[in-house]
Amino acid sequence: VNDLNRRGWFIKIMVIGLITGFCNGVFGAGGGMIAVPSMVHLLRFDEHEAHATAIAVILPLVIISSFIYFRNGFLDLGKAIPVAAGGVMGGIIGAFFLHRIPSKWLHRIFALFMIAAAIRLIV
Amino acid sequence: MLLFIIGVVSGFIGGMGIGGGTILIPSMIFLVRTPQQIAQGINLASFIPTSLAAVFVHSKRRHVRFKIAFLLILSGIPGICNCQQKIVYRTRNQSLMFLNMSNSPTERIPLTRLSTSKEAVRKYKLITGSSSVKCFCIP
Repeated sequence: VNDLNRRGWFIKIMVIGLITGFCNGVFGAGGGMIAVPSMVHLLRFDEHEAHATAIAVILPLVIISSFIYFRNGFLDLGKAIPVAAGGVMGGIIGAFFLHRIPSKWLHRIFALFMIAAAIRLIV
Repeated sequence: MLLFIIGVVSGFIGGMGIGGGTILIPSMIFLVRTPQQIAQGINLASFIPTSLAAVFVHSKRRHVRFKIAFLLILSGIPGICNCQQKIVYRTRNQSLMFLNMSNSPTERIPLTRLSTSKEAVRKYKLITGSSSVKCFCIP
C-alpha cells in the first residue's frame, strides 16, 4: 500500500512508462518487453504481477496508438477484425494459463521471446 | 482462417503478458504479406479486445496493481505522442510508395504539401482515378 512512498519509485515509474509508451508507438508492439523486466527488476514486482500489470498498462496505450495509426491510414480493419477475434480467445486462454506457470519458467519463456524479438528487429 | 489462427496464437502469448506482437507482426509480414506498418497497426488494433479480455481475467485473480499501472499509463502517453510526430514528419518529408491491390508499386508522389497520409491517398485517387488504393508504406 505504501509502495509509492519508497524512495525513487515515482521517478522510476515515470521513466518506465515513458519508454514503454514510446516503444509501443514506434514498433507497434513490445511495450511489454520494456515494462515487464523493468517492473520485476526496478520495482521488485512478483513475476506474475508484472505480466498482468503490463497488460493493463499497454491496453490504454494501444488504444491511443491505434487511433494514431488509423488516422495515418496504417490500419487495415478488414484484416484486424479476424485477428482480433482469434486474439480474444487466445488472450483469455493465456490469462488463465499465466498463474499455472511457475515464475522461473515464465522468466525463461519471456527471455526466449525477447531473443526472438531481437532477431526480428536485426533481420 | 489464417488470420484467425495467427490471432489465437499471438493472443495466447499476449494474454500472458509476454508480447504477442513478436509472433503477430512477423507472421503478418511473412504469411499474409502485409507491409510492416500495416502489420503494426493490425497488432495494435487487435490487442485492444485481446488485452481487455486478459486484463479482466488477471484483475479477477488480483494480479494487477492498478495504482502503479495508472502512473505508468500517465507517463506512457507522452511517449506515444512523440511517435505520432515521427510518423507525420516522415510522411511529410519523403515520398510515399503506394501499393495497389496487386501489391505492386505503382507510383511515387512527393508529399511536399500534404500533411497526412490520408490526404495523400485522396490525392492519389484523384490523380489515377483508381479506387483500388489499399495501403501504402514509407519506403
